[in-house]
Amino acid sequence: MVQWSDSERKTIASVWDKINIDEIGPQTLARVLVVYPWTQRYFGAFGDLSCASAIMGNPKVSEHGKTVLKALEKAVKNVDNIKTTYAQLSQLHCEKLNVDPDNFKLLADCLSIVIATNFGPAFNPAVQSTWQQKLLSVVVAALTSRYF
Amino acid sequence: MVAWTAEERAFIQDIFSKLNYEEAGPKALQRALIVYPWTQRYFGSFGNLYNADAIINNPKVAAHGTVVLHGLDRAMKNMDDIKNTYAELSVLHSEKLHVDPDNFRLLADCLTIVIASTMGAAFTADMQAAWQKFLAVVVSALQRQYH
Repeated sequence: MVQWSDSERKTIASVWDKINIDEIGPQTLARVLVVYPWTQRYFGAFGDLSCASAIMGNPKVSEHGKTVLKALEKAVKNVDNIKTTYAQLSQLHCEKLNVDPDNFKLLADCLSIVIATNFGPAFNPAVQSTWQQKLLSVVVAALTSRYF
Repeated sequence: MVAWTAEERAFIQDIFSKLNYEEAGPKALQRALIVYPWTQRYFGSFGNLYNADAIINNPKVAAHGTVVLHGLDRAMKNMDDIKNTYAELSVLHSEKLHVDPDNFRLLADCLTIVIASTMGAAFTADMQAAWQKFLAVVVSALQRQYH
C-alpha cells in the first residue's frame, strides 16, 4: 500500500480544493487531444476535432473532461485505497474502451500542465512532487492494474 | 530532418522571447532536483541539496540552471539542425558526465511546467504541442551519441 505523510495528504487536499472541475477538466482533455493527436481515435463520436480551436470549443470534449476530473476526485478522497477505487474503471478502460494505458500518463501530464497554467508559482516543486510525481503516478498505476 | 511549420517556429520564438533565462533556467533545474531526487547524484559538488529550500536557495544550482537554458537557446537559433548543434554536448553528457539519458526528458518536462506556470493561459494547447515537439527533438539530439 502506498504511504502518505500528513504533509502530502494536506498538499493533495489543498490542491484539489483550488481545482475548478468545470474549468480544469475540459482544459486538460482538450490539451491531450491537441498535443497527442492519436488520442482522438477514442473520441470518434465527439464530432469536430479537426483543429485546436475546434477541440477547445467542442462541448462533448468539455463534458467528458469534467467527467474525467470528477472521477479523479475518488482518488483524492481515497488516497489509501486508490487501486481498489479504480478497479472497475480500469476494467472498463481495458475491456470495453480498449484504451492504450500509455495514454493515462499523457492525460496526467496534461493535467499537471493545466494546473501549472492556472496556479502559477503556487504549483511549486514540492507540490508538484506530491501531486504529479506521486499521486498521479499511483492513479495511472491503478488504472493500468486490470490490464494484466 | 525535422520539419517545422511556420506556426511552430513562431510559437517557439514567442516562448523564448518571453523567457527570463535567469529565472526559468534555475527554476527548471531546481524542480528536477526536487521532483526527481535521484538527479541530485550528478551534482555532488554543488553543496547543500538536502531539502527543497536548500535546493531553491543554492547558488550553484541557479547558476547551472542558467547555463542549461542558454544551451537550449542554441537549439532555438538552429531549429533546422538541432542534431549537429548538440553533437558535442551529447558526447560530453555521455562520455564525461555519464548522465542517464532518461534524465534529459525529466528536465524538459520540468521546464515545460515552469513555462506553463509563468505564461498561464497564454501557454495554449497548440503552443504546448509545438514546444513539446521542440523539446523532444532536443532530447533526442542529446541522446544521440550514447549509442
